[in-house]
Amino acid sequence: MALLVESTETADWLSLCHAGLSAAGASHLGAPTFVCVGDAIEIDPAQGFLRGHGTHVDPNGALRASVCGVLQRINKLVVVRPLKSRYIAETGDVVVGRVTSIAGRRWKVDLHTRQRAELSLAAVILPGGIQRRRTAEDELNMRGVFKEGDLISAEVQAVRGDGSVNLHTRSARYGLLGEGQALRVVPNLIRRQRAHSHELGELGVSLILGCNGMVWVAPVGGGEGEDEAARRRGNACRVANAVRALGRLCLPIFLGTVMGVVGISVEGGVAVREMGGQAFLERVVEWEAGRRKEMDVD
Amino acid sequence: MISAGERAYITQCVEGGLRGDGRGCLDHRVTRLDVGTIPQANGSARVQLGGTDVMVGVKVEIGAPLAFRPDSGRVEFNVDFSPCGSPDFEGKEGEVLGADLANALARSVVVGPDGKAGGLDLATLSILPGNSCWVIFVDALILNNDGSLLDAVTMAMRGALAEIRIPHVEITKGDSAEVPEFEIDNEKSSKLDAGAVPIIVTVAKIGRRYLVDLTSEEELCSDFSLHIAVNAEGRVCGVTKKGSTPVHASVMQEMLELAQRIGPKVIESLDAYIVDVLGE
Repeated sequence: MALLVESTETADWLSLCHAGLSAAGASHLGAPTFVCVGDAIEIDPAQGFLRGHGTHVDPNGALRASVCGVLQRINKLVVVRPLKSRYIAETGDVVVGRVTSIAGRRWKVDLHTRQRAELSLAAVILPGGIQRRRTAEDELNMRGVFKEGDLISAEVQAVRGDGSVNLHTRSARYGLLGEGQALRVVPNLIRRQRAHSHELGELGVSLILGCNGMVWVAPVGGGEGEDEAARRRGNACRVANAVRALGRLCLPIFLGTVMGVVGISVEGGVAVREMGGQAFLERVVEWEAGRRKEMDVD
Repeated sequence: MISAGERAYITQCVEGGLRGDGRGCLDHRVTRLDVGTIPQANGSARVQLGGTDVMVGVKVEIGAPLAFRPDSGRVEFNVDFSPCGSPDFEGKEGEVLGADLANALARSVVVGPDGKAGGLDLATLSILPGNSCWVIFVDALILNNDGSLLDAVTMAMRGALAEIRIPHVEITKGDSAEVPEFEIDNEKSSKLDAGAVPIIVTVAKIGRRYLVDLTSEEELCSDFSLHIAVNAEGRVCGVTKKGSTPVHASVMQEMLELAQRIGPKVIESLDAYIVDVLGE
């Protein structure tokens, strides 16, 4: 197949998305207040304010945004949450990360945060599953649990004052990820939900939407012969490309949108490789506009 | 880094003729190309090949020819890795990687031992044999690495070289008869003929299948890959092997033939786009 060459300006998916949603008259869900760097933030002088992240006070005493993002007010606290940033961990988040090294009694895990996260030997289930003191032998066998390069899913146990993150995998839901593919999207697009790991039954695919922007897509099951396995791998690639399409358009990513995009690709008979193309992305925006309108009606 | 599970998955997918992003084994990712991105350079281009992001700037200056090739011009390569791209590019690590790529480029793309092989006719860059010549500096900056770096760099280089104009030089005898003086006439410049410069097609083998345009994960899965420089006629201009696994001659032959089939098509699409953009 010949190479498709285009200008870097062709790939302006954000404008495509914005134009598509505005044309359809879909609301932007609650219409949050966007501020840009240097924008003055209105405050009630009688009440006073607490300066939060993403804001600063200029010499004239006015409160201004120091990042582009969404303005949030919590009582007196004023915070600007940046639109695009490295992942900021919160306790209880489900994340997908890669083990980069083993140091002392802990694994260092890359979550694409500012600092490496740590998974302590005491925070994993060891074979046998018994809660017991970790011995020196366990420490020597750490590579038997997770090696360098392994992808794992885990939960954020604590975020310490200096920004470092502690993880744990003390549940059967977490742990080593096997055969599948990981992809990366902007972390702010992943909507925090009750459940982040999903089994897409009829597709034969398991999906983990890590809050840190790492998404794990893997075919599950097996033993039904090579044709079935190939179908599941194909489905996994389709789900992965659905996530990529949403990521490219900066649309929220959760089970509903991912399945929606997979649905329209199957309905329209779109090949997996065509799912990054302009035509399909326009179709996704159209679908998202429809979804938002439906929510407005409700 | 890649886990054993990811490697197994990629290998199985590739065996079935499918890749993680839905491409077939011999498909390229969509290539985004901008020509003339750096105003200060004589020629420049930026290429985005999926997540790979590369910028190439070309400068043309007057310098001294090499002692053993007094009647030819010179081409110098330099590859820099932006430390913003990945923590792996920081400090010495990036320099070593850059030197590797620059060597592969120099070996494959332009200069053969006689100064004539490769794409550029260096003899036309000579100004005064043994004294001065045009030196073409090709500087590449890797902004992000998602595999197939050399492919992207040579694509960008093709765009940048298409923009190059060599000024006309008038040689006048200066005050002393020994030192000649040049009058550079930028109005009367001629286009550099870079049509024969090859591009590099990286071919790798995963399982029993051959792949082109690999992502960084796929690169980690393959035991070895060949960077094959191919020109518009499908002739092989140079080969660099990456990875320590030995290659069987028949496998190498098949990979070369594959690159010979794909290379000219890539050059054709690139050139059509570049001509369209530069309006010539």
